[in-house]
Amino acid sequence: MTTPATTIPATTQTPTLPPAAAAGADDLARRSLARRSRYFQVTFFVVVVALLLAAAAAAAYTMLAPFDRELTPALEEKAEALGRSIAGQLGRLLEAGNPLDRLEGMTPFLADAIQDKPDILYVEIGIAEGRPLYRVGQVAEAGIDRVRVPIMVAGTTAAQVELGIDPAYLTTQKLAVGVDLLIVLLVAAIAAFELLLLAGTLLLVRPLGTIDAVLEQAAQGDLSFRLPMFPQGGGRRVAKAWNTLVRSLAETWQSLRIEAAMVRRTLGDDAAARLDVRLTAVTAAARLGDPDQPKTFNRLFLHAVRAPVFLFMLAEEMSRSFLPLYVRSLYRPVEGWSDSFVIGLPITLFMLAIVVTTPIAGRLADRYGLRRVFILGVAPLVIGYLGTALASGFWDLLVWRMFSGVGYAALYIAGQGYIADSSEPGKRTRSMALFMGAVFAAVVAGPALGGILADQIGPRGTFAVSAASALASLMLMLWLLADQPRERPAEISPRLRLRDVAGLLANPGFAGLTFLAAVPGKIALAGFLFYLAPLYLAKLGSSSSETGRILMVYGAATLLLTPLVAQLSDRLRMPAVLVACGGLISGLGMLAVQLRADSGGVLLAVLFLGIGHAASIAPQLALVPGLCRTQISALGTTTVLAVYRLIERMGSVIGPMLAAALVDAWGFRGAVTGIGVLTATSAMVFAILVLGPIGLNRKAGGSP
Amino acid sequence: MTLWRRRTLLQTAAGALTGGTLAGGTGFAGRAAAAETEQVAAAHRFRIWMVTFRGWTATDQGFKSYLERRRIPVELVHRDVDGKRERLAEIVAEIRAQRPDLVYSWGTTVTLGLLGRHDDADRSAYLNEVPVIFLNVTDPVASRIVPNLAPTGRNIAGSTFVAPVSAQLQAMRGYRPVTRIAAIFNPKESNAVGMVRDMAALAETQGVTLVSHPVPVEEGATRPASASIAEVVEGIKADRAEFVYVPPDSFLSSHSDDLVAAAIPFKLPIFAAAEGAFDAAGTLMGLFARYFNIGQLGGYQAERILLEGAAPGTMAIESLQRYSLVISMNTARKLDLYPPVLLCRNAEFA
Repeated sequence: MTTPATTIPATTQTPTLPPAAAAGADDLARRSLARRSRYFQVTFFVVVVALLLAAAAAAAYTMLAPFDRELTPALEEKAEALGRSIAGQLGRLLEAGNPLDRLEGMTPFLADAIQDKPDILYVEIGIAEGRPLYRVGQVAEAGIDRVRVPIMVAGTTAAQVELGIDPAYLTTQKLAVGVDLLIVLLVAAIAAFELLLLAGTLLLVRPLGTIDAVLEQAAQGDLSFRLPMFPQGGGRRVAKAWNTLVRSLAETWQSLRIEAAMVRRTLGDDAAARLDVRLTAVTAAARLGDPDQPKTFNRLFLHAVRAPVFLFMLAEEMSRSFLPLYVRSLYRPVEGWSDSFVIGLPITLFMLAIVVTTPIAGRLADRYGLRRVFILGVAPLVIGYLGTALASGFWDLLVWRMFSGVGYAALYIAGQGYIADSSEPGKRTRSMALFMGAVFAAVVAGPALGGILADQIGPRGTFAVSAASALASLMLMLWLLADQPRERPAEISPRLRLRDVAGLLANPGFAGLTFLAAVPGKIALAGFLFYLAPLYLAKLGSSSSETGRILMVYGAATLLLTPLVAQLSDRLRMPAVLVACGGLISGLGMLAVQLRADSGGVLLAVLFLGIGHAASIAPQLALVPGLCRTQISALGTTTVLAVYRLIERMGSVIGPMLAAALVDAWGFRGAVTGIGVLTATSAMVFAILVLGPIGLNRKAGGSP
Repeated sequence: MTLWRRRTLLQTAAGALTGGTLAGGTGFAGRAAAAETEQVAAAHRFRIWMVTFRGWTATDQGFKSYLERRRIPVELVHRDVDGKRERLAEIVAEIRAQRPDLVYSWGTTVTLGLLGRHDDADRSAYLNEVPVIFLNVTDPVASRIVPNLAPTGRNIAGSTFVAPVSAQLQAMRGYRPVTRIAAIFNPKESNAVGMVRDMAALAETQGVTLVSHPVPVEEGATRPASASIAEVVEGIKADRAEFVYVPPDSFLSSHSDDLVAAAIPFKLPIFAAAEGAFDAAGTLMGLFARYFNIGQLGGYQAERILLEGAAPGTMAIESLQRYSLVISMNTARKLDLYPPVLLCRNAEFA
């Protein structure tokens, strides 16, 4: 129907094609076009990001060469200093009269000297050209860098200390720097991707999408819509031409109607009737606008909210690897308080601030619009980060973290609401995936980037960067979300009544799902990932960047696996099984710290937590409607989901406190194990309930 | 003020413990201070009576040097009893007549002679009014000079100087594995007896046997004869002990040459718990406070009493926080028993 519709101004013919057939062919063509365009989009971004990464990797490789040149002499210098210290101590003994070949207890002495020095392979004492008299460490091999220091007695060389520098250590250090660089690159690539997406949205997707929609309307016969003024180069000329066309069409139609009225007055009835038939045919074919009241086609665009969401999420995620350590550095022990408990308080209060703010922010959004909540939410967020960066002690830090929690909740709710408002009905799940894409990108990039920054500029500097990131988010919102009214407000803040909450909890299916799956999941997240992991890794000697790299694995696992699980879930149609499996995987995964007492154990636990959450979180939500049919028909899906979310978030609040209590009782390994056992046990009980009394997987729905 | 002074003292003590530069430093300070002191009129000097047991020692020098360095105008009157405790009565009488500002009492025997035991009913033979500080007393509680190490409430202050027996045993075990220790001591000296008893008790808890070898004292004599030391050492040889333990003991300190001369032929390693008992010619190792540092601590206490008017009775019985681990490489060579390198990191060589 496209062709006749666009030719209306030239001729006033009625359409000739049978509408149904035309629509069918058109639909098919449009769908294949959409598929091709999506394929193009994906390919485009993959190619661009791959090119960016390749270029940056090449740059990084050239940067590693000077690092190599500087590290080798630095290591030699360090070894020489150690050699001088050993030579000095032995020289003193020799000077006192202890014969060189009668030095007692050299093995423990030398072992002690090179203990905690991973770069030193061996140390030996001997005379220049002879077999060493004393030796500790691995066998010397070819390719080892040797450092020799003479042992002076009364001004002459009595013997020498020889130290072997491990070439593998150099490689390890280079690898660590290389990994750091790669992560910076990855973060840069993610940021570049978000920017590209933003530019693409503004210059391509939004103009093309709008033009497509307006032409679609035209094809349906509605020629009354005008195009908005796109940015320069982004289809502005098309918009101008189209708008001129629509205006002239409208004006022509108007003058035609006036002309017809004149004709009707002067000609006979017969002629007037023929004219009316013609005019009616035009009206049937196309609706032409009123030239005095132009209608501009404007639509909220999903992608516009992505970049701001990414930036504010990044601001929060950056502190993951070092927040508990920063808290500990500011905290002066208070008698009668458990240190572990107090160090967990900032996380708990942050989460509590989110729980309290979420419904309030929702209500504010309903009343004043999303854009205002968005922009107002940035203020506490930025104040919180700046305050944290400048905190003078533990207690004001608590206040600053709560500020950040309030802002975080407001922004999150506004972001979700924006997605809900701007997505077409039926496409909400895909839209939400887009929102979650930005969230996951930040969860992957944030901890690693923040860890590296904390190692370089310290935690305070990193929080200042977070504040800057939140401010940048505000700038983008002011620019992108301007003049986009809330046309079709979705209800995002239902009023929760205690009676409803009680009613829901009386439903065993709902209670089982929240307390055995959702709450343990959040306890694991806040208790293990946010609280225990950074502290435990620091105790194991990891730097903030190493911790950041390990925590990043959680985000990466969820990011990569969530879409796969979604497909699997659709095929299996048994979300309850996935929920149980996810809980078991994350719970048993945390027991990895029992197998390995090093950071590798933590890495495995984090990885399995990511896999487990990827498997269980989306299916958890999918279970809610089936479980609570009665309540949903009474209260509405939004309210039921809000109650679910509220209880789930309480897990984040109690997680750090529970972890702290476990640390006090059993130490870090015991605490991680404890949370793992709790998660796995909950999952098992849930699984039993699924197969047994509640029968969730039969999708029978909950009966209270 | 007090804190600052204490730090100065500790710095001096630390310097003395870590390096051998003490003599030079003191010499310079001593000269400068001496010139200063001369300018002060004799009437304005504090009079201190120093009572010693066996001549002028490093402790006395440390005390004197501290006062000089701090430019405290003093007139020091030195009385030595030459190892004869019976002479102490006349010194008590002399001090009572002269009424000096402070009495410096060296060692357990002298201090008991001047002050008596804290629980003595009849105190007429002792000093009660004049402030006394005691030094070089091994164990003032066991010797019953004071009931405990808290401030005495009487006109007495003082310090202990022996490293804790646990540290002594640890030092011996750091040198070589130890299962058996032979202790040699003068049974007439309560300080020596007490320390050997403490060491025996501790050693037992660690699976180490301590065999006592008191040097015999003839009937009617106040102390052993130096000639009998060799016999005792011969008896010790049969013990197959890893160490010969010498507690703080005035008799053995003054006859350390006899002891090492007897021990070296049997290749017996000697551990000394007091600087006086350490003889580089034949003692293998020792753990003790340097006499000089003990004297400096006494000087610091004297300063508080004289300049700040602190009542001796309000001052706790103090002790040095750092002890010197001294090893004689000369002896190690003679015994063919060299020290573990790790132990030597904290050791001084004599």
